Amino acid sequence: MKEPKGISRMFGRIARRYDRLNRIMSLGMDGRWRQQAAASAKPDASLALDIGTGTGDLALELTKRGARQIVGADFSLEMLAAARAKLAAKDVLNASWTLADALHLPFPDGTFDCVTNAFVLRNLADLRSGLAEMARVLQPGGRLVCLDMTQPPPGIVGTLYKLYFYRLLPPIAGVLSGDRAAYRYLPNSLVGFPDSAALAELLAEIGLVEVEVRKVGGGTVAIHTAVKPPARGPT
Amino acid sequence: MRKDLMDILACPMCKSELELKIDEEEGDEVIKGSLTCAKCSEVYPIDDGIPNLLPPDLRKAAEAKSS
Repeated sequence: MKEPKGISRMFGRIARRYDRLNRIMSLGMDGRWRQQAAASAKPDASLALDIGTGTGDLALELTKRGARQIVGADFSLEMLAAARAKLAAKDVLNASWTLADALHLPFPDGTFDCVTNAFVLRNLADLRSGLAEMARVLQPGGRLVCLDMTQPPPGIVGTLYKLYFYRLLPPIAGVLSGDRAAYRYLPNSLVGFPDSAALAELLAEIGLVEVEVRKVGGGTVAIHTAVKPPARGPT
Repeated sequence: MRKDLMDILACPMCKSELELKIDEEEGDEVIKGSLTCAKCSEVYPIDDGIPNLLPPDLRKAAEAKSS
């Protein structure tokens, strides 16, 4: 069980340097992944929720792709302040921000046309409850998009990736962020995280349909999409 | 916080409607105020334009740390 308060403080500490580190750690690919995730959400004219919005990168992509209104939720005030400043600087007027816990979302059932999250699921104290909560706030027919690291594929790519992710990255990111503890946490957060097939199964188990997985980043990152089934008569 | 966010906000614990109290505003933005859940009586603060709708125990832990 991950301890939410400690994780919230950790993200608060690293907020300022977070964007630069994301570019470095993903070898410059995270922007492209967020664009692909945003497109998968089909956000045109939607009311969209980005959970664990961090510094607002995926929220920004959703507005670029026509979201009518975007709500960014995070449990770190420092991250939300950075997100708000970033989108305001780009004259995005249809964004709202709230402090919230992914396991206790402050919205009624069936609110959003799409719900997204990028690099969030690994940090949830309870993955199944978090996904079920995201599904709850989706409208029937609404789309859930999850972008996150996944267990690397077998073979040479996987071996090199593990060397990078578990051995090289933590000390480098620790020095660049000035926070060694935070980036020791990063590889640990992938230990015990379900692989892409298991995550797809979990999405189906909580009642979502049309579950699809797309691998990017040489198979080290997965974009899961799923749809909340349309309402069928009284339940 | 944009006032139209009230259309979709709910209590994070019981998911009931919230009541907005405005202490400070700028146009359509609520800068300072609070959101009260009529059902469970919990009061959620709005500070610097951002509503704090964390569950009460998480919020109180964060407040205890920063004070």
